Amino acid sequence: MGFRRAGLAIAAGVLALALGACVNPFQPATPESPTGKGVTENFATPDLLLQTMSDAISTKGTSGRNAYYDVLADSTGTPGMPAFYAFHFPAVVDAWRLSTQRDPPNPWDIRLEKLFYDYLIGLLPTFTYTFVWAPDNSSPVDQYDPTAGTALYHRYYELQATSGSINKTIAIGYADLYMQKVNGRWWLYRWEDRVNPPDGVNPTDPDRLSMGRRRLDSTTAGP
Amino acid sequence: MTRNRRLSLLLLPISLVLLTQALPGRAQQGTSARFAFADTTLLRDTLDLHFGGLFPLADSLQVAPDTLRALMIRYHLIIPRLTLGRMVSLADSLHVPVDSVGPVMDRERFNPLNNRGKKQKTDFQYTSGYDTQRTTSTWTNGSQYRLSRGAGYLTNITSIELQNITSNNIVSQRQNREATTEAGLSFNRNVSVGGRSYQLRFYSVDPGSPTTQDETKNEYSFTGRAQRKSQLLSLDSNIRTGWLDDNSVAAIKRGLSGSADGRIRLQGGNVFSHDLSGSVSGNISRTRQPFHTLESNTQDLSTSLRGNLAVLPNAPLGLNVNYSLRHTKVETPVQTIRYDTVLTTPARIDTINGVLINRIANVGNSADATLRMRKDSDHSLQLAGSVNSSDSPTGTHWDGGGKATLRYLVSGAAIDANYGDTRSTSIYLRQRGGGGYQEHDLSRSADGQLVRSIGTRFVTKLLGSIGLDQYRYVAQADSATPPSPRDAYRQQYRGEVSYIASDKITTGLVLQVSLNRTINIQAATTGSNSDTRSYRGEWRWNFRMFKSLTVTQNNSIQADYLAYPFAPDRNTLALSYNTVTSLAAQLPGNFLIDVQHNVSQLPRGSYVLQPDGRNYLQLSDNSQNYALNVGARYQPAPGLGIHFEPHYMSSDRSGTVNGVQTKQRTDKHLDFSGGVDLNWKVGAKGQLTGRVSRSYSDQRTINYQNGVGVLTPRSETDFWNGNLQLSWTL
Repeated sequence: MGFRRAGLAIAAGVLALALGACVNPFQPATPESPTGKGVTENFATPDLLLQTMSDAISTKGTSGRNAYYDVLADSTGTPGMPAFYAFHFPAVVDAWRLSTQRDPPNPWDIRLEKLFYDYLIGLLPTFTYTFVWAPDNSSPVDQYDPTAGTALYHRYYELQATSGSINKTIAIGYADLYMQKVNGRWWLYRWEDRVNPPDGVNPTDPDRLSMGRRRLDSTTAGP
Repeated sequence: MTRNRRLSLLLLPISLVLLTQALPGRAQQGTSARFAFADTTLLRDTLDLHFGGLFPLADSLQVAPDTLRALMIRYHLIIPRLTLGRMVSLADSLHVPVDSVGPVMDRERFNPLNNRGKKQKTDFQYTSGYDTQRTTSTWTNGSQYRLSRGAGYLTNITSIELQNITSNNIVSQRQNREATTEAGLSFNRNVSVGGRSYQLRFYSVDPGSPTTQDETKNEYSFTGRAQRKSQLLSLDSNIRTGWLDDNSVAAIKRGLSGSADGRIRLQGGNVFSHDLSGSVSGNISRTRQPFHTLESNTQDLSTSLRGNLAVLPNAPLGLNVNYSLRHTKVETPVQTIRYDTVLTTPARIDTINGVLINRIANVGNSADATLRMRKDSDHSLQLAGSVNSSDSPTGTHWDGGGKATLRYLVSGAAIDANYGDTRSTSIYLRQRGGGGYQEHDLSRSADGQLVRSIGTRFVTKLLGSIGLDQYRYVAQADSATPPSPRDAYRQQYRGEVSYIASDKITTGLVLQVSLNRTINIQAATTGSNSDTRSYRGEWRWNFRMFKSLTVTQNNSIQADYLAYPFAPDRNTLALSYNTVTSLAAQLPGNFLIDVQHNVSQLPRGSYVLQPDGRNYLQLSDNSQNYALNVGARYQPAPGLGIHFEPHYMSSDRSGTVNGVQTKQRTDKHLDFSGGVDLNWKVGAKGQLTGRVSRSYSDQRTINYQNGVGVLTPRSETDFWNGNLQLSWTL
């Protein structure tokens, strides 16, 4: 009975502290009034999540960066949230190891992915970006289970950079994208990257690299 | 429409369900109210395995139930007649966590000190496996050989893995061959010495890569083992030192290599125990790049130290402390450089060649402590704190936090409450146009749960949770542009009622409300702030119609209101109506069949301002999905199974153009997989296990343009897949 009384006393104390505290510990900050429209973040369906991701890459700047971060699943906060990891194509890893004589960072987690976004949008700072998704004809069947809240999409991607009459493809390839619905919205928690076979691991046009190769290149040290 | 009126729409079908008083059912139930919702029916019906007490035991060990179940199935192959209780007893006697029982037992099998004194012992095991999938095929061969004759011993472990990866008719190859051989003498049960040889051959080729990725590695070393065991202290250590010759595409290394590891356990009766394990490994080598001749000195080093202190583990008040220190350093020559010095008197040029060494260091340290106050499994309070830090070439990370966990059973109600608070700081170094800032993260969460039985037939569960994540940034470099500060807020309430009519029938209702807010703080980014309010109702029932036929149905309806506080014209609503019906049957003649039918409708729309000044929902698109999945398995003889798994899915999607709903796309998809499962004895000491299947997939899509359907070409795949493994023991 002593333990029970002590437990009740502790519970009552915690409740009193919670009710009596002057500051709500879960009160979020008050946002400023907006000065611009920014990227429309919508994660209601897997398709809209991918559209938001596409807009985030195409829209350079703080709004795009925030939208990109919000796409990625971060397991450190919300219970039940998976952790984001990107997996590179094995032959790309081999080729990158050969050219840099370094082992790639493993695993590729959300921390590295956040840094990668800055690297990607800074590749051609004066160019306008357009990131597009298209169906993967070699794996046309997506898996989507609204009951379990899981989805696996296979997509072809291409990132084009334009400046005046110059138009170049700076990222191209395929991705298997794993998404999960947690707390009423969808999150991207795994990106399995594949190269575009006609371009191969070492493309003739050195710009036409896969996102996996771009990710690895972003870790090459330099100011 | 006000929020309450929207909610009332969701409550309508649930009310109807209540009025109909549908037939309830029952699954395996735990004994305590805390585990009233735990269900092991699936395990019982599909695997014919019994995991009595799985949930309370997993809860007690603080591991996920499916993890404990997977561990038991995995170790079941190593340790015959394994039960949950026996696995926990083994973990206790070995003084290891339950997930380390298998690896520790495997390691001890090859410890020569454990086999000394046996006059003659010879073990040999050979395993060969072939695994083929759509784009990858892997052939593995492995052998383990142990021989002991009095004080002498000889062990050999060999593994060969050959892998082909096909992509668009281009084949990449990866081949890995490893062999470890050790021979020596055990002087007594405490000391042994010997010699060890390790060979690695790695070969990788990809048509897109300019060269292969070969690696050849040889190590020859002396080994020593020592151990001492008493009631108070147990100690064991391993030492290895020798010659390293590593030839890879990154570097050629030749030099001395060595490693040492040890474990100490100090047991002070029931008062305390302290486990400490550490290891050091590294090499001192002459290293050069494969295409250069200039060599340089490099040192690789890896150290780790882990410890666990448990004070009064069985008392009502106890303390548990874990700590870990880890450091690795790898040095690789990356570039040969040339220094020219021009001298005028006399005129000549002195040339000095040099090499830049690339040093990659990683550091990770962590510590946590838990103060536990416990009367029994239903009355406990835990206070825990943890600190972690890591340092890598991309930056540093630090986090620290605390957590309180209360479990209390009062008047038949099981109460669980948790509170956690974690703060972290990450420094992203300025690299290639990114980083150059600090990220400060605060993560705070609280949740509570109450489970109570009402009478003998009703069980209720109430759950509430709240959480806040805050991200703040500080630029460290003038050119850095850190992300804008932002918050993520979430709260959730959930009520659940389960009605148990008999041991055949159970039904349950769930109502869940949640709010998730994405809050960017700076003016430039707040335009994309959003609030998602979700309302979910669920009704499920389970009916065991006959001894071998169980029907389960889950009906759910969910509404996700997505609102943009600063851009209300972009507000949307996504609805989801879903019904999943499952039929599990065990027919005479070892025939099992599972049928699942899934129907879902997903309308979605946005709110449009009408002339009367109010916003009304206007549907923008609607999806209707149907899926039928069948899993059938027939076992005509022991060790032989035949499986048959067709899946059919149909999806219709329509959109709204100028206020008129029109069909946009129709997908029909069929998957079929069928084959055999084998578990055969080959001779007296061999075993052939595995699965071979043929998989077929077909899809047709119709895209509608102006109401006219355009049939896309058929998409078809057809391939063999499976794996076979042959093992043979002497």
